Amino acid sequence: MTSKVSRDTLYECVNGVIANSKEKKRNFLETVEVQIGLKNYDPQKDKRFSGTVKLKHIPRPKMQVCILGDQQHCDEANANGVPFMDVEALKKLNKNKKLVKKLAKKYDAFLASEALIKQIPRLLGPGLNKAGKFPGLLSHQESMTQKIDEVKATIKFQMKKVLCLSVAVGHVDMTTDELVQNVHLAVNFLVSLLKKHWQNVRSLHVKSSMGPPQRLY
Amino acid sequence: MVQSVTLEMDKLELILETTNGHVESESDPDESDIEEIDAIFHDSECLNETIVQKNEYILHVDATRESDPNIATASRESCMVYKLEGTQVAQIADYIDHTNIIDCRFSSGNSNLLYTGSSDGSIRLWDLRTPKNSSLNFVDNTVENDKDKKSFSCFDVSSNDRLLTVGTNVFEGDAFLLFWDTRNQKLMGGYWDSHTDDITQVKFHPEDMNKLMSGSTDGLINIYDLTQTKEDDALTDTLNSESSIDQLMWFSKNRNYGISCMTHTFDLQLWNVDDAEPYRKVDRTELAKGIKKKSESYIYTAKCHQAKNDLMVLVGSNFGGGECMRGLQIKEKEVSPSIGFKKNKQIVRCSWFNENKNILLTGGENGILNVWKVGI
Repeated sequence: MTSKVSRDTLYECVNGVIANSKEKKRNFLETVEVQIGLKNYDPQKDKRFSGTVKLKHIPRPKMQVCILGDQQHCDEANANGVPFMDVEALKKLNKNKKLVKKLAKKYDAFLASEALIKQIPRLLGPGLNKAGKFPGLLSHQESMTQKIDEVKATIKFQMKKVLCLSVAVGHVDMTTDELVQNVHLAVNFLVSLLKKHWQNVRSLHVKSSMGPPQRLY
Repeated sequence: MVQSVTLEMDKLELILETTNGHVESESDPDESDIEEIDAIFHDSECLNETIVQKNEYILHVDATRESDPNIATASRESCMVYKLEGTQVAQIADYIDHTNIIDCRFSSGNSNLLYTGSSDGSIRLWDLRTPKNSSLNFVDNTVENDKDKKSFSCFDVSSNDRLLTVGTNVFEGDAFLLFWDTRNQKLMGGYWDSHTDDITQVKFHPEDMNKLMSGSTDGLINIYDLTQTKEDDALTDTLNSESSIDQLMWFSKNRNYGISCMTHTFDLQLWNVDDAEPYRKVDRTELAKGIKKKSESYIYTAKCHQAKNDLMVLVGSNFGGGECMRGLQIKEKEVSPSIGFKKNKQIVRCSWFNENKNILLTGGENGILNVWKVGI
């Protein structure tokens, strides 16, 4: 990355994004995204460009994570003010498609205790799968709040037929340094997945939801 | 004041990251010198190297298990069939008329039967003894319009050859698993509630034809009991890779079966079906270390194979012409260097392994089919 996008360019672009958003305040929190255009890449023949990456700073702080917990995790969630459900509550949904769908809609993501995660298909059917919200595992060896932050900091990316990809790496209320670090991390990771690295990159922009794109590369 | 100090620290950290992290390098050096590399990766003998089609990626390879196996290779555009006799590779069929190929696979019961699949929405069965025409054609005959055709992305046939299943890309919001009885070409039915995104893998259990797993770019590995008629009841387990699934394989493990999962970000996960998390994760960094590369930034995963009592994972580097590929052995949780392929000339995209004869076939981006005697 150092050889292709200088630190100065990176700061300049991110500052530009922030300045633009301050100039024209929107009545919602603008997302900051990185847009990457590819070249010498054939989606029919080359490996899929798809996956997840964990960023350093949480890009979506408002994300609501619900715990599907055993007794201990439910108690912990309760104490931390985190929304939770226990196995009895899940049983009550009785595989009812509408109720499961409603639950899936209510939260952005789920985490489940070891004892529960294996029972989810049997208790809820494929409803959470279909919603793209099948829980991640929350073990007793890790801290709940840390794990929730991890979920919030992890973003998905996937390129389909068109040769460009956009990933949300933050929002306009983050500091320049936080944004720069997230952009830097995301770009480095994505480029390293490409067979020919920078030779596969046609363009690289950073922009906020409503602002003009700033060219990084 | 405090604030500005924190900022400075962050900046410093960033600079450190920039210099230590994925640095764009003009080389992809090994961790050790050549003598050491040669000593720990037993070089495989290249029995044959055939140029199937120059510069057309070979994306799929399959073969039969007898001593002179039939071999099928497929690029996106065409499928070729060969016979391996000793070290000679002879073409035996060039008539496989199918385009936009997603996979090719021999019937497990009859070495003359070959299935090919196309993203256009058809699976064809070919009998190598009666060339020119495909003997059976499986399509989704519930749709009449071409524009309603689902794009197929993967398929598999059960070990007893009775059941054919196809995974599709997302079509109008749903990703489908479709089923056919191989004897009558009529679509039996499908599931479309268990994935949110393109299905990339479907694999029947090696012994139990009623057990199937599917994987998707949504990151989920789903396991179904096909004796159940409704999808709600058929879905027995969901394993969340929290990534995007490239390849899945059932492998035998202490009289049981485990699942190996390779992701599109080049990590490997090993699962027991009954567990809540992988019992072993080998990430890209560890795979790079395993094949003795200093950096992970060019590392790709080619394929995972069942070996005699363990797993063999083929890991390569995209650097230069993609010549570097090495094999790792994974025994329980232990990852160790195992085999080398000094004569490899390409980025490997597909492979097939006969663990009893130690014969490995590889195909890749230079259109070369290699036959290796693996030096385990």
